[in-house]
Amino acid sequence: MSMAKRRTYIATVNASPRQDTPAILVSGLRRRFGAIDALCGIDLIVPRGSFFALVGPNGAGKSTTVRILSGLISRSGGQVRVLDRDPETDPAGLKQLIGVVPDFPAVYGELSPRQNLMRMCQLRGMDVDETLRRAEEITTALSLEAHVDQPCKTLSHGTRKKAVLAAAMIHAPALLFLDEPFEGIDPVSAHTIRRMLEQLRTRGVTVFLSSHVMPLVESVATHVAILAKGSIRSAGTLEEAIGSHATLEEALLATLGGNERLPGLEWYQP
Amino acid sequence: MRIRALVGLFQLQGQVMLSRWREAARQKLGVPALLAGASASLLAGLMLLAASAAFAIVGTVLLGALAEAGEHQLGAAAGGTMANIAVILTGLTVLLSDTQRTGLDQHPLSILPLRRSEIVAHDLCSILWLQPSAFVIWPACLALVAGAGQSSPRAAMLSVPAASGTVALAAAFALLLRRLSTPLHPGDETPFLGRPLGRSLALGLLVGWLIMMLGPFEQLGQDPLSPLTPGHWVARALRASWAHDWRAAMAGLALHLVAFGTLALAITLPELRLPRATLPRLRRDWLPTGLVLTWSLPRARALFAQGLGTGVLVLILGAVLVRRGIDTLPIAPVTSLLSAWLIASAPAALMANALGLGGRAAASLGLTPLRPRHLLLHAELAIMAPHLMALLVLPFALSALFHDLPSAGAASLAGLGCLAAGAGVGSALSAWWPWPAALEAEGDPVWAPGAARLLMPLGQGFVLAPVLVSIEVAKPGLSFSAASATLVLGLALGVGGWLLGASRIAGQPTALTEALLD
Repeated sequence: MSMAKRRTYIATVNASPRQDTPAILVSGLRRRFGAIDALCGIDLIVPRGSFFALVGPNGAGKSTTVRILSGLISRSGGQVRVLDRDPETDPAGLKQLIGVVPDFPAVYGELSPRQNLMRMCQLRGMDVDETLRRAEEITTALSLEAHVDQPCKTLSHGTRKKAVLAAAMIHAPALLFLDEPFEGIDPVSAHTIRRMLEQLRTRGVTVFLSSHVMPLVESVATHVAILAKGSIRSAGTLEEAIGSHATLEEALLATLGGNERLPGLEWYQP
Repeated sequence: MRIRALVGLFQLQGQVMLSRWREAARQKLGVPALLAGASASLLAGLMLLAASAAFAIVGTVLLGALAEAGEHQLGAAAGGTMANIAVILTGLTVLLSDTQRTGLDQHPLSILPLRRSEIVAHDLCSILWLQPSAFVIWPACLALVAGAGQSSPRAAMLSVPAASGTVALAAAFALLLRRLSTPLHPGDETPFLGRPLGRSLALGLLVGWLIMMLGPFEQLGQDPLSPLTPGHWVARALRASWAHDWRAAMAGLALHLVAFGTLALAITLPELRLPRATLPRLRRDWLPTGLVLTWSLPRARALFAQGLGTGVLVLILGAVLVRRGIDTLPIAPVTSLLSAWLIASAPAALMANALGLGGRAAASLGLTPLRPRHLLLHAELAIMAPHLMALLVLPFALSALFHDLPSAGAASLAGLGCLAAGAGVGSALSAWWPWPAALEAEGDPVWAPGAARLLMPLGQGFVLAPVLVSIEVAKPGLSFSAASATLVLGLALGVGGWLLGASRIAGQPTALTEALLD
């Protein structure tokens, strides 16, 4: 990003809250863990109502980005506005407006999905009857009925992930952060979740998703950013990201470069 | 902090606790396993009491003796100073303790709109549910002890609510410190207290506190306590309690609550873990490594600080008293109480820890070329050393204070015997009846499984019975010959149990490891 463009960008970030501002504005975001630079000054614009996918290889910095944007960890530098709030200075206020599926099981293992949902809604100050109604509906939609009263720690990874997704959606947030939401989810459930997210997007919900499952991303995303080694390699609409390539996966490989020097493994002779 | 969030967090923890109980009730454990679990819980409770009661008993007895001598002003100043020491020790304990690897960003609550103060409140709610004994049973029991000791049970019982409140405040202080010293991210090695600024501030605060605390010693008896320290409030409470004829019961209790609350909670919060990463070092030299391992245990460091701090404090107080010409304090109750405490708590404390020794040794067996006997001894030493320090410093410091070397020496000998017996019996039990039956996430064996841990608060409620019995038995004082016999018998049991346990581990290491992994 050029300096002039960057100045305009930062000015936008610091501007007073407006309804037509993007859902997420990131400028020069940096995060350092000890001697390692996890994010080296990334810039992002996520329009309201978009389905934004952050893709990239393992260790690219996707989860770190999600954590910073959702107020879970602090940043080392740069400017961030999420729904016109700074996640670092007002994390509690921001979390009231967003839903997060982090990369760890954000539910109490001793409690069932239903109990987790009830308690989390209580802490969000929601009405009990309304919570019950929504819990019933969302667990049915996610095919959780059979497990709704089992302790979460006894559930499979995928089922637990669905419980976390339900907890992230039950308060109807305007912005959803999903860190690898399809990891460990069976194809049928993944299809259901994908349709559900598409439905939410038509109602104006912004979805920020990090994933490395390219076919799924390609089928739902409206905007894509490719992240590698803490830097944004390309960003734009899905069509722009795919460009002249046949698929998003090909575009990603072309951007990042595949491992051409594949070893022969001649010693592997069973 | 919002009341609604606080209520929600309290209910959330209550539900978590109930779920654990339900799960425990559903488990089909055999009678031996249940017995082992229950005994481990009971003994673990005793261990915690033993670790925390030393400060309280010494304080109670000293202040009671000062009250008997009519030295109310001096007693108040001394009590206030002891409270300050307790708080400083707590701060040091928390600062020295291993910070939890799981930061706030890994917690289910991290995705909810909660403030940092509410996260701390959540920790407190968790302790309230998991350790109800710390807030209800222990204050009540120790109030009874203090009240009975001073023939004023009513006064002691009246002070229970204040006692619980003090413990809660102290716990909040400890938790706040721990949160400040916890990295926000596993990869983030610079939590607030880890940064140069944070450390400088913490160190400055502690040093300032220390100066304020030591300053009054220059002019004991002249109401010198700084109004900024917790000791000021304790001293004021002491004077008020004496003015209302509550005498030393209230004094001892208030002192205990500050000391116990701050210390015990800070001690019990970090999990006792054998650092797996250090196990390969055992290949080189087991004795220095054992010492390093011992010091690496938060509980060991805390007990060391507690024992050392108490001893130093008693010595300073002794010097002050002697300089003021007060050397006619009643000595018999001091010796009796100490003897009783040593006899009642030493074996229990060691057995509780030792129940996990066999498992630890067996788990280490595959990783090191050491013989089972060495491994078991190492595990025993690692657990015993801090207790040994805490147990020995107290009687000898008191003997220096009261010039009653034979009585205190006899108590120490008896305590050592109990210590050895506890370790021996515990080692044998741990090898023949392996418990724990699970491994932590890091691969370290836990020293009591979930179901048994749940029984711990219940067990803690019953710990007073043997203590009271021992007090009655030890009232006439412990003779030197009886103490020597206790020592010899204890050592024999210790060595026997050690060899027996080691032979079992050597004979069936695989079975033990499998039992751990069940």
